[in-house]
Amino acid sequence: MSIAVQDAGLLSTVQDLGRWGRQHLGIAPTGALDTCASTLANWLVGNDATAAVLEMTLVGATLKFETDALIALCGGKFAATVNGQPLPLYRPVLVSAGSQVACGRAEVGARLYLAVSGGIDVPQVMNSRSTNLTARFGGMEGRTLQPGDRLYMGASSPQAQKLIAALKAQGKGKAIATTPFFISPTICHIPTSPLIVRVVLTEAFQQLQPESQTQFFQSPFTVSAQSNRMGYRLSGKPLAFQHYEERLSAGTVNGAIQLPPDGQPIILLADRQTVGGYPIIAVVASVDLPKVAQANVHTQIYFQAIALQEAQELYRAQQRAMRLCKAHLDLKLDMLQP
Amino acid sequence: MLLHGVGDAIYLGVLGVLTCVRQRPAPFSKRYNCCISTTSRMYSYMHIYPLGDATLVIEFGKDTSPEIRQRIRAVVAQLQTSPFQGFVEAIPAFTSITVLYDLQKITYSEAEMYVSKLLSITSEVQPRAGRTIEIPVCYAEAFAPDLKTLAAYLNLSVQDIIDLHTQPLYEVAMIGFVPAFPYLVGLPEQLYAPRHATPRLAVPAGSVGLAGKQTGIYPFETPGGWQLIGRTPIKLFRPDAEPPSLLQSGDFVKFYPISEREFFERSQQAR
Repeated sequence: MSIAVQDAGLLSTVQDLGRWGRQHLGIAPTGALDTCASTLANWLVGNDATAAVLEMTLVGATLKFETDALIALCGGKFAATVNGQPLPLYRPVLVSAGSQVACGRAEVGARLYLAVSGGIDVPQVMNSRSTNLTARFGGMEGRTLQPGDRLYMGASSPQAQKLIAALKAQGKGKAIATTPFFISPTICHIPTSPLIVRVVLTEAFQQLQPESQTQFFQSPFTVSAQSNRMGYRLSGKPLAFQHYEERLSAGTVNGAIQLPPDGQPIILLADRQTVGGYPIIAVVASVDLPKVAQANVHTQIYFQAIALQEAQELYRAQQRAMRLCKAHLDLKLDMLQP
Repeated sequence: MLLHGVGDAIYLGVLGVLTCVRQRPAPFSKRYNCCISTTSRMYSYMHIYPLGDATLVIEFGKDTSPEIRQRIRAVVAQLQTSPFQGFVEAIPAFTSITVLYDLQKITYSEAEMYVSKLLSITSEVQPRAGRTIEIPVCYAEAFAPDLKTLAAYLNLSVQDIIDLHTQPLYEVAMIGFVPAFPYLVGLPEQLYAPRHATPRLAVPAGSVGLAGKQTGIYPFETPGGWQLIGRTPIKLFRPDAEPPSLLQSGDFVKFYPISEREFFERSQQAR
């Protein structure tokens, strides 16, 4: 009942929605960076949004399924295959025992999520299965996947069992069987080039030099190669404060845009330090965090300021769209004939 | 005892204005003037403002002090024991508390109103009493790559540094940066030293370091730029324990020197 890792890809980790409530002990929330994609992948295989998934970055893993499994791939557009044949994304797919799934490379976006029905079964540490790469715990022994690893699956939900039975009847020994329906990949955001990222400004932003304030919106920033799950280092025309003042370290948040003395902003992500001393000039709106998570090295970003209230309304609307999608999906799955 | 509740008032009294002159008002922010305790007569402004769309920050001043840190711990304890609807978590720091909330359950103004009411009633709540934890440190050369050069830089002998470092009762001002990393305050002035210009790529777990006015312990191997003067065999971070961090904000730390032999014996036990 396991999946053998033949090739681990570039940076593949087990993640769920994060380990919240421990930041006062220095423990970053970690968790999937594109929570929309990880949630949709879980829903497609009858899991709760909180089930553990595999997050892959730029180059996906190659996996050998030793058992039949209901899987879904969501996130960036990766050229995934099963036994050499194209594997559709944003659909529930039944993969038969012995199949080799190669998740391929990113063509659009940066991260791909693989959900299996029942979730990836790794021990819970502090109420989460997310990998903490800094402190090396959680997920797959606190590290990225390696060739030779085995991933185990939890028990499928009744909804997933029904779907598996229906797809088995339809598949009849083929490597894969899938449903006629799928989820639109653009339900949360549409990848654009350059990327428009909406932010809520902070008080520290007012301390920037007037030219820097204009420049923040009018000139693009590029995601540099020194980016990881802790944060994206951006490069662009350097921004400057009227008076640079490093503050006593204070709590950080996902999407916080820090400005170190070199004037090149850093967007903090889920594996960030829990406290930091660099001034935070803006924070990415929650609605755009999944979009940021799909930014690749060299992606150009333009920032756009929105009001706090607007940011909250946009996020709530996004979550409503997600729930509506889930309701439709449930309806489709209920109508399936075994 | 309370002098006054804060309610919905924006400015309360002249003191609030006087103590805030260095800060410029910003949209959404409100300032509160509140009394920490009638006995200490420590007045401080409180400044509540949003940080993005799912977080609010309570700032207690520009500079940190033991009183401010105690007040912060009391408020955090109150938030953790009686959370508001939609409360996610609170990160205490030197002068501020970062409060995360679920924006699907509560708006900013609702969260702000709750927090400001809470601040008006928690003045007298005592936080958990800090424990004193003794931490053995081996200052032997093998574990203290920077001790000799630091001694030369500070114009002290190696023994002077050990004596000075083991003398104070340090306060754990906060835990953060990486899991279980304690920010310790109370370093003797003679030991103030700069960080390395280029950080080491890997500082071994248990390393005890100095930087600026602070001393700290690396819970596990990470990159780091502090001056390394010793190593402890004690494990600061144990992911399977509850709580996973040996030290908590508000605890006190006393270092004591041990020999290399003791270090290895204790390391065996710690496994």
